[in-house]
Amino acid sequence: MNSNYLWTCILGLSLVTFTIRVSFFYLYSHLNISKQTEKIMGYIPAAILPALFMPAVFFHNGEVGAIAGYERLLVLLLAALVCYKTKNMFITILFGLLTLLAVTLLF
Amino acid sequence: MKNNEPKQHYILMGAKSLLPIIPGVIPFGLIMGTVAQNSGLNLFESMSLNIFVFAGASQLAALDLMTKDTPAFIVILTGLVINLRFMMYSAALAPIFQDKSHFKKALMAYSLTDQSYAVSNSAFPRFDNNSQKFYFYAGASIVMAIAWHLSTLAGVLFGNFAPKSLSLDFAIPLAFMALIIPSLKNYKMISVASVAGFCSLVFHQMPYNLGLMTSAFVALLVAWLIEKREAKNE
Repeated sequence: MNSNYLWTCILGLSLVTFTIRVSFFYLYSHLNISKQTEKIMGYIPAAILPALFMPAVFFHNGEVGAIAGYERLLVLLLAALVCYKTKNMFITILFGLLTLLAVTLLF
Repeated sequence: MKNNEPKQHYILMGAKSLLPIIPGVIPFGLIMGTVAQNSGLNLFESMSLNIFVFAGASQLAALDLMTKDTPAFIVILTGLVINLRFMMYSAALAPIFQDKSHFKKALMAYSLTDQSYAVSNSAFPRFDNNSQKFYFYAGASIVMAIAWHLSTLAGVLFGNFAPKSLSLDFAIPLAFMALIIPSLKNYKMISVASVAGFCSLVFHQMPYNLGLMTSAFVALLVAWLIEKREAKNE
């Protein structure tokens, strides 16, 4: 990969990302955030995190193609139950990976 | 938190709260390091990307585009869209940084991640004042930064050790899923999360990963409507 190209991308990405991250730390004092807005802000993780992982799980057409390609979705749903019950990320991820492995070996 | 403990108390609380999340960070970091290597970056370049940007999802997307010789400005634009969610985190956290120095603002902004934000967001209701929240968040961020950079380093050095059939990359969606499950305690949160997930499937074909932000905005709109309806019923 061309070095100049790579570093342009790295520096551009870091500048943009940092600016986004620090934006409101400086803008906040100039804004008045209502109680209503604060309530909505509490929903931010719920509004973003599912959008981050759902496409990769639902549309996964990778090397593993059991259960009509939807095995990842099924395993994720099961892992969600495990997560809800155990409240433990390590167990959840271990369960998810092992279950997916088992499914791909069996089907 | 009625007592005013010394700041170390809150820093430790924050640090401890991030520890259970680390099993989700490690596979992600390992994959990041591996992908960077496989994309043709050397150790220095891989770690530089990781340290300068510190945002896994956008780094993976950027690497993918870079290996396809995508114009730099599109790589950067895509990264911008994927990381736009940090603006929402920034807005939500802004109050606790009001009186902090430029250096502290910059440092805490640099280390803003999904993980340190999620963990802080759920813990904040316990605290009285912004100072406690600040130190909690700082503790969580430090642990997250260490875990992330070390995992990526390990991925760069020892990457490609796991066969594809193990589907280690599945650990990433699992980790994000595990971050959100604990907060889905009522029908309102579940509704918003469901809308976000559903929209992301509908919009996933959008260019430059715009589907992500579109889904988030639609989901927040639903949140606004839900709260509005609740306010009316009071």
